[in-house]
Amino acid sequence: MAAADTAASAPLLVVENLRKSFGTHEVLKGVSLSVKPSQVVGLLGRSGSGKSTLLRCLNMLEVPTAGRILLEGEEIGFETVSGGRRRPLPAAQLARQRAAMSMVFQHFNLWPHRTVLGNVVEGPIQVLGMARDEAEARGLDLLERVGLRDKAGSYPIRLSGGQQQRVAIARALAMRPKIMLFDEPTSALDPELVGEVLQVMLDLAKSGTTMVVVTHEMSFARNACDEVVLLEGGDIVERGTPDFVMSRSENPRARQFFAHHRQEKTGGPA
Amino acid sequence: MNYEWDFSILLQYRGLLGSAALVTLQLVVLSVVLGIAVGLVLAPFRMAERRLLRYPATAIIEVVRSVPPLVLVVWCYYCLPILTGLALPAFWTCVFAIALYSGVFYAEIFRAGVQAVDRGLIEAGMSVGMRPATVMLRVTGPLAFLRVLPPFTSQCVMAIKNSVLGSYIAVGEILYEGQRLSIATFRPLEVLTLVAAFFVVVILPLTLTAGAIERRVFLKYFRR
Repeated sequence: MAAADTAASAPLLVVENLRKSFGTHEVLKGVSLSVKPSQVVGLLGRSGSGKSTLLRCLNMLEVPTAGRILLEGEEIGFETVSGGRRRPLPAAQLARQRAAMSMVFQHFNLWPHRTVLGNVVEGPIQVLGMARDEAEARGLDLLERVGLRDKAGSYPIRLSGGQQQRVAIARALAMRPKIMLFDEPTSALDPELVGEVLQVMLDLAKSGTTMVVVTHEMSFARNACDEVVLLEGGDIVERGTPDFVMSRSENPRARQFFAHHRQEKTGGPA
Repeated sequence: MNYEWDFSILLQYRGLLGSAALVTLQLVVLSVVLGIAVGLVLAPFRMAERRLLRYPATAIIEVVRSVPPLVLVVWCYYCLPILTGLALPAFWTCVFAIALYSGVFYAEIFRAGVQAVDRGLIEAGMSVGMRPATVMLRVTGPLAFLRVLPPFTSQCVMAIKNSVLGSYIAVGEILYEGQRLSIATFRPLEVLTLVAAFFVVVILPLTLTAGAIERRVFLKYFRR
């Protein structure tokens, strides 16, 4: 199936040999990745493996030390000028590129001084230049989609973590992004609130949204992802279908990682 | 105390006192507005990553901050014209000196506010494609301002009070005229009490309003 997909469609997002160092510490050691339209890719790995840094590099919240990121063939964050020299893009152009790759954060990051609807319409109005009426109508539809239409006028502080994260997803969707980036979207949630967020993400995945998801939720990786990528120490150690990587891979580091997670699952309180 | 209060003196000179109060209010409004403008201009430079921008702003802030405000007013009045050949009327000297003095404090307050804004909220703005100026205008600025409302109010109060420094260079504001009047009429208790009451009447509503706004903001946006 994977081979057929490759033939059918060009990749939407390509990551080429991405490196990122903080000081002398190299967090990403040359990672390559390709995401096709409507594909859901899960980035797995221990904390410190570089998976969040990789995700944050994709929309230049972290500027990579080396390597390239291409969205529909256009390089993100850099331009090549005459003589083959690369230089960072002007802020306005980088902003335009970022608008096409909305991000959902671990800590939701809703703007506390705007209502739920205000959070959702902010990007469309300020960035896309959409009229307020239209933005609000669409915003309400998106809130409906994440089950929070009745909270449109509330301020984020009045919402539970799970509700805040669903608003954050609606806010990201409002930009009509080409790709959605999720940075451990359920890691800051109380266990009983994880399900409602994962359900929304599962619906998105099924409806053909292209997604890159950093997650510790093994059930989500197995059920929603077309491909999972396991990172360790800034390198990709295994990749493939969830079933392959999580159950059938012969790679000892993959086996160890998933064995550990299965233990946690059965060992912890229900 | 056997002093016989005679407040009729105030009524008698109400024209003089009224126009002095008006001068003070003009001084206050101009120096506060200009001071905030100075702060808004200095703060971004103070936070700039480039040293070429940051160092001059830091120098201005640190130097001005170290000079007592009265010295600054007097220096601007007597020394600046000699150095620059540019002599401003006492009123405007006072406005600019107080604006500069409070401006450096506003700059530090705004900087503290901006730096206290959760990085994630700024990243959320960036990731929906906002340009840096839009992030500042829509996210960082408003949130920073809400955070620094209490020190901002205090600084406004300080700037208002500093308007009396004008009396030292003969700006006809309320303290200057009040002192002249108390000497001329031998009624310092009545006149100077009025001067003090005037400031309470000007400042108290301001701080009460700011306090109320602060509580509302806190309840609405920040408290569970």
